[in-house]
Parts: sequence; structure tokens; C-alpha cells
Amino acid sequence: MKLDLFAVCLLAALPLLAAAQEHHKQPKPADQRETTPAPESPASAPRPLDSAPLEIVREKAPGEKANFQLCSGDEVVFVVLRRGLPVQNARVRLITQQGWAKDTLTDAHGRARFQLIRDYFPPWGEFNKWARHTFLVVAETAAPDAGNIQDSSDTNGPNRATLSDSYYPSPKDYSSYAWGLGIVLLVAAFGGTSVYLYRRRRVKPFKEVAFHEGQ
Amino acid sequence: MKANRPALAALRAAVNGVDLNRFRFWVQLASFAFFLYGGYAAVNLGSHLPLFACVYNRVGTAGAGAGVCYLMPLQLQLARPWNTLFTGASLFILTGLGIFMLWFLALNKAWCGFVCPLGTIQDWLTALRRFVRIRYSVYTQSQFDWLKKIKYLLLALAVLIPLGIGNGYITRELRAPICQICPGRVLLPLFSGDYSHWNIDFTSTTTVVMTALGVLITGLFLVGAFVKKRFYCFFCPMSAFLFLLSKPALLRLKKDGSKCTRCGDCYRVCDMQIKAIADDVVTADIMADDCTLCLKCVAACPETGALKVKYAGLTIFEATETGFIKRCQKEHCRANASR
Repeated sequence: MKLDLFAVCLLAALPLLAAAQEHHKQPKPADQRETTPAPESPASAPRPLDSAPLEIVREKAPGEKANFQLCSGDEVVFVVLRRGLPVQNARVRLITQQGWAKDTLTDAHGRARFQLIRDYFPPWGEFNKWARHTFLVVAETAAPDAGNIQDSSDTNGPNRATLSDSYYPSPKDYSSYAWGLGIVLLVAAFGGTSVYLYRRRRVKPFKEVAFHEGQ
Repeated sequence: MKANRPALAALRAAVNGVDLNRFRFWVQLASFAFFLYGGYAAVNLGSHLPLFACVYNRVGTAGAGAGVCYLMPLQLQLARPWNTLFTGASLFILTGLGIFMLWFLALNKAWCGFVCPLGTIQDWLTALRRFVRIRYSVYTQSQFDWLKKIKYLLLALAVLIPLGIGNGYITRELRAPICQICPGRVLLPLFSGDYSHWNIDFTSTTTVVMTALGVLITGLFLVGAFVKKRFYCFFCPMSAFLFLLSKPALLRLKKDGSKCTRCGDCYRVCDMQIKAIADDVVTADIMADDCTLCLKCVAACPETGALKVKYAGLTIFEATETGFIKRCQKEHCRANASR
């Protein structure tokens, strides 16, 4: 019996552990964020890549799985690489479909962070949770070496790279956990009380029945 | 060969005297862990399983535990225009049904009694109720007869609504309607730390109604399963679907009416309140539509050979007097130990 109880308790504790793990994966607020990145595996570590003078790579979000979708409100991190190595102080601009833009500079590891703003405000009756919005990221660095523009050499202009991606409205914009939990609690409380009252109503007070066989 | 016979008889006696409740508890626990967390070990048994291992439990490499309930693919596959439904383009629906049948034939409705994670949660809630010493509820026979029809209605909706969607009569927001209102969608992802299915979606009237129904039924499930054994199994459309297909299944529950004394022990232990298991002394194939093949009735039967479990015609577990006494003694010892 004790072993049974232990096994069930262990299994019941797993959701809490899993939830704690999920919580651990959430991005931290800006003031608590680590400035040094976690050690990278040799496969993903920056390495010289002569074929890519300047490129932008979106970093995977914590806990990102297949069919991942960026949503408004998410923090998105881009790494700017020159010939495969991170570039510090590159100017990175994010421009949304509606024209909102924000500039930032890359840090020592070539990272630029943005929070995707909510950029979709239709009348509520026309709200579409699958509305896909694009954004464009432009990274710009001073040119370290000559390039070619229209078959002529160019040494003055900056190097630019662009990357486009898309995002969806955040589930927080159209769904409510509090309502869901409220309904479950209400049903559980109402159901539990109903069963209790039903059972109490059916309890019959004790009555002693006496037989007097002689009468 | 002769030397093997005593060994075989000893094995049969050991199996027939097994503490079934304890055995079932461990099988259920192992199945629960396997189907909910098997994805972490890259196990993927596909999406045609006859049990409520939920597609929304996004775990591991497969992204959905060790396997997925067939109702979701069935509903999605049926959402096709009628003119393509009976053509070669819809052959994959038959293929899916075939794979589902192969899984199902192996265990019949023991998928419900031994493997289904939602059934296991209900049994744990029952154990909790017993632990806090609250008595269980039962339905009256008329309530029972009325309620058992609901699962067939839900099964019909699981087929008809997708067909309506495929032909544009019903909004696509109602796709996989049974999954939207299933408590498995809300409860099973909890075990991997995903609380997102407790949300009410306010994007349209349909989504508000369906998500609210989903959490409302979850609330009823929790209360119901606490006071009534296997509460949700009365309404489970998968249970109805399995019963409709159960004729060729390999695992069978058999009754020999001539050995039955109608003592009613089997009825008293039945979580599903199936009266026919005690009353019917004529039918040999005794499995009713609500039966979960938990085999408690066989374990509780004191008449040797009155109830039998057969697999492909071979008796694998049967009621025996000695087995019954052995289980009673164990139960008695356990009750004394817990006092």
C-alpha cells in the first residue's frame, strides 16, 4: 500500500516538476538577463564562414519545438554574423508590417533583442487569431572591405543584411486562463455541494421499530 | 510433456489466484507513465490508438507522448467533401481505421480498463475518495439506461460534424469537436506542465462555447469521478466505438451460466454497474457496451469456471474458488494493516 501511494505521489509530483522546468525556460526580465551566453556546443559555436559576408540569424526561443510560432509580446533575439563570427555594435532595425520600427545595437556576442509589439487592432468582431504579420530585420555594419554594386567596386557604403519573418497575435490577447479556472472551480464547487446536499436529503433519521409479539 | 503438466497447472493456479487489483494498479501506472512521458524516450506508437492519450500532451520528439488517441485523426480525416469521401483519395481513412482495428483487436476494451490514462485518473480519484472514507454514488437503473445512450450520441456527432464541416455546412472552428470538449485535452497536458488548455478562447462565439464546454466538462469529470466510479466512461464516445467493433477482438470475457449462482458479487464490484454480468445466465459472450474489461468481476467470482477471460480461444484467467479465497484473505490482511 505504501509503495502504491509512493508511486502515485511521484507521478503526481511530475507535473509540478515539469511546470517548474517550463517556468525555468521562460525568458527572464531585462534587468535579470545574463549578459554572458551559455557555453555553446562545437556544432553551433561561431566559426569563420567566408561565403556569408553579413548575415542575420534568429536565435531559437527557450523551449522552442516544431511548429513554433512567434507571437506579439515575445522577445526575439537575432545574432548578426560577419563571415560566421559575431559582430559587436552592428545597428539592427526591426520594422513591422504597419511601419513601426525600432533600432538597437548588437552586444559583444552579436545579439540584438526586440520585443514584438502588438500591431493588430481590428474591431473585435473581425479579430482573427491566425492573422499573420510580417516584419523585417535590417542589420547594418561599416564595410570592412570592398564590395561590388552594379559591377563597380564600392568601398564606402555599409554592409546590410535583411531577414523577414512573421508573427501571430498573442494568445493572451484573446484567451483567459482565469475564466477557465473560474468555470472549473465553479462547476466543482456547485457539483460537490449538490452531491452533498442530495445525499443529506436522502438520509433518513433513525427510527426504532419495536415488535411486541405478545400483543 | 507429462513433466510440464504440473508446472502448467501451478502456473494456472498462480494466475487465477493473482491479486488482480494490485496487478491492474501497476499496469495502469506503467501505461500512464509510458503514454504520457514515452515521447521523452522518442517512443512514438502513432496516432491510431484506442485510448485517450492526448495529442495536446506535447512531449518529446514525437510532440505528443508515446502515441495519440484515434478520435482526433478520425474527425480531421472525415472533414472532407462528400464527393471525395468514397473515392480513392479517401483511402487513407480506411488505412487509419485498419491500423486502429489492429491495435484494438489485440486488447479489446481492456484498453479502457488497463491502459487509458483518463480511466487511470478516474481510478486514482476513486482511490482518493476511498482513502478519505466518503461513500460512492450509484445510478438508478432508469438513470443508467438513459445515460448510457449519451456516448452513442457523442460518437454520432464525432462523425456527423466533421462531415458537415467538409461540405461547408458547419464552421471549421468546430473541427475535432469531441477533442475540444474532452477532459483529456485539459487534464493530460497538465502532467507535462502545460496549463494552456484551461484557457477560454474569446475570438468567436463558437470558440467561447467550445472552450467553456471543455473546462466545464473537466469540472464535472473531477467531481463526478470522485463520487462515482468511472464516471466519464459512461459518456465516452471511444467506448461506444470500441464496442461496435468488438466482435472479432481476441480478448473475450465469457460466462458459463450453468455455474453461476447469481450471488451478485460480480455486479457489486463492477465500476460500471453492469447488471447483466450477474443476471444474465444465458449469454456466453457477456461483455456489455459499458464494460471496460477491468476483470474485477472475474476476480470477485467464487464459482470455479463461471467467468473466464479468453485470448484467441485460450483461457488465460478464470474465476476459481481458491483464487477467490486467496484474494479475500489478502484484502482482509490489507484492511487490518491500514487500521
